[in-house]
Amino acid sequence: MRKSSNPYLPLPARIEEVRAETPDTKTFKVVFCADDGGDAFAYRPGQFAEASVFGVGEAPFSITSTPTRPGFLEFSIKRMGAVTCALHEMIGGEQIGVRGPYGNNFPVEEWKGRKLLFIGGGIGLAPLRSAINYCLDHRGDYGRIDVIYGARSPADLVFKPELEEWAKRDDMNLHLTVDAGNEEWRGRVGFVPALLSELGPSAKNVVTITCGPPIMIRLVLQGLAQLGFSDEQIVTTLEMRMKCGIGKCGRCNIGRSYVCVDGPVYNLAQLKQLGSEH
Amino acid sequence: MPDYVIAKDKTAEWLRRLGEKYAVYAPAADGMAFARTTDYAAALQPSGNPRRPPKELFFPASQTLLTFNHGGQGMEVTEVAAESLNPEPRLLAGVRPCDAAALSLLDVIFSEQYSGYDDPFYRAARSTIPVISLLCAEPLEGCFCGDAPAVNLASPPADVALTDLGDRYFAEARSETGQELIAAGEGLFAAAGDADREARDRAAGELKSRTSEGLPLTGMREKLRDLHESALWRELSQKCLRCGVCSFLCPTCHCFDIQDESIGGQGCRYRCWDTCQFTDFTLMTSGENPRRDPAERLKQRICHKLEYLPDRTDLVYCVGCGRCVRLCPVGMDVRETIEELLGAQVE
Repeated sequence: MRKSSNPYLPLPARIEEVRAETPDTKTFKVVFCADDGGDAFAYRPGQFAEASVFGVGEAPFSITSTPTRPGFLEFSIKRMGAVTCALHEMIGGEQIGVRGPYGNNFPVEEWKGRKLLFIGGGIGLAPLRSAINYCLDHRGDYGRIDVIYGARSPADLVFKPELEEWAKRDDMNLHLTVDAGNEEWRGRVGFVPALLSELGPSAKNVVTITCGPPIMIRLVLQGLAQLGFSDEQIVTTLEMRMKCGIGKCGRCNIGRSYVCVDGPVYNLAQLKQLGSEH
Repeated sequence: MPDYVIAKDKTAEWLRRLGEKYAVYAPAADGMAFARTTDYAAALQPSGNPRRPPKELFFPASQTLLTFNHGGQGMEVTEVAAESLNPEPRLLAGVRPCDAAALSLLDVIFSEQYSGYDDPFYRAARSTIPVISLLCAEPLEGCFCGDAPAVNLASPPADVALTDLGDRYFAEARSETGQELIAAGEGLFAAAGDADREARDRAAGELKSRTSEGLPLTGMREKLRDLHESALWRELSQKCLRCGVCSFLCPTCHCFDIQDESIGGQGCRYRCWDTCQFTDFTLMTSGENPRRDPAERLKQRICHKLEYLPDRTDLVYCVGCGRCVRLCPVGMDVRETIEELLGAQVE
């Protein structure tokens, strides 16, 4: 955790590279300007940061890179509101502000020795990617790794070059699907929850981690329950409107839990205890 | 620490001496807020309480966090030193026990212990502005501090706690700073005796009995936990205009927004008060809004104070100051809301 006299002060960071992922999503690779910037920012998979464009504002983004590949941070950002639109206008060499890392993280230590099933939809793969690559970089610590990922169309799949690499690996299984295909698409067509039922994975010694649009999550949770997954085996990461990121400004709570400091990673048992807002 | 008494006609001289070192803030004559004053004879009012609580001296309605400048050399970001926001020493006098309790509740929220991060802006103000409290002679309409567990009427968390004993004030120094404030009144104070202490306790006890309505603020946690799905929230929220007055004027409400303001490449990032009663408080750019419904927002306000924060801190975040009762434009009364919730059937 970064300790500074002013926790609202971001570290200056330079955009190193911008990659267009989909028509509305770009990945920003950023490097801290100060020599020791990276040291002050030690993060774990699943944490997030507040990124800012000075003059426009700040917004929270999950960190999609993995700390096992140090020297930079990556954020995959969909063009949605004022801050994300301003970021989408920016190019390599420009400066943004980054403060964090904030929140809890995926319990990658607890997962050791277990099989992992990642289920992502659309931009929801961004936070999962940090954990997937972290586990691949510690491959020996984990059992079988499956990734189910879907998007509305082939053009909406994020991290395409990386998906190709994952598909080639023989130590993980990537299952791709799109809601609607096109002429070039040779892969599966259908929704993520349907693909989950089709694959019908056993729940035994598995942890499943899911992130995606609300409707996908709802159906995936139903599917997982049918497959015999307990609430403790199902992990997700939440999105909430946030401002301070440090448990002061009072808006991101679900019941007594502040998503910015107690989350964003919860298992389903914890979420059910907190109340009905999700 | 020793207790003192000071004759009422000597407090103006005491505050005048303190005024040589501090800018003295006390309830303004128009009843709106705590404002700077040199009318030391009128600074300690026996009754009433400003509409705006004293939290704004420590947590202003708007506060700059940093400034930036798009110069030729790229972006220059300048930190605002928290200390620079309190350039002249200030002193807050005439704070009611409810508001003194509210400040101690805010201390928890802005502390490092609470969430892992210290808020330097709040702390800088809090550690430099001494507080002199004064027990009310008369409660206002809507006051229910007697039911608030955080409120200690006899000995509130202030540097100096004053209690009206008729012709004199009982003065308890509750901190080293409080001792210094009393030392500045050398020759004006006398040591308090047991009879004075008894009179102080009697005054506090009387006010407590007049402001107690039997609302079980401490015991709301379990009840509220069972009512999250209740249809009552919708019913109770129907009257609400969503103006946010209840939270902007609440001495324990502390939610804020962070925004940028920029003209010609120069600007600042500031925080400003915000309220859970506004629709966009939790609206995400995706269009998702977990508290879209006014019923959800009323639930957030009530449960935040009486369930969620008590769960986190073991403290109840309502001090019974009655501002939300007195100043709600449509007459929503939090005491009635609590009563209705207490009487609700668990679904």
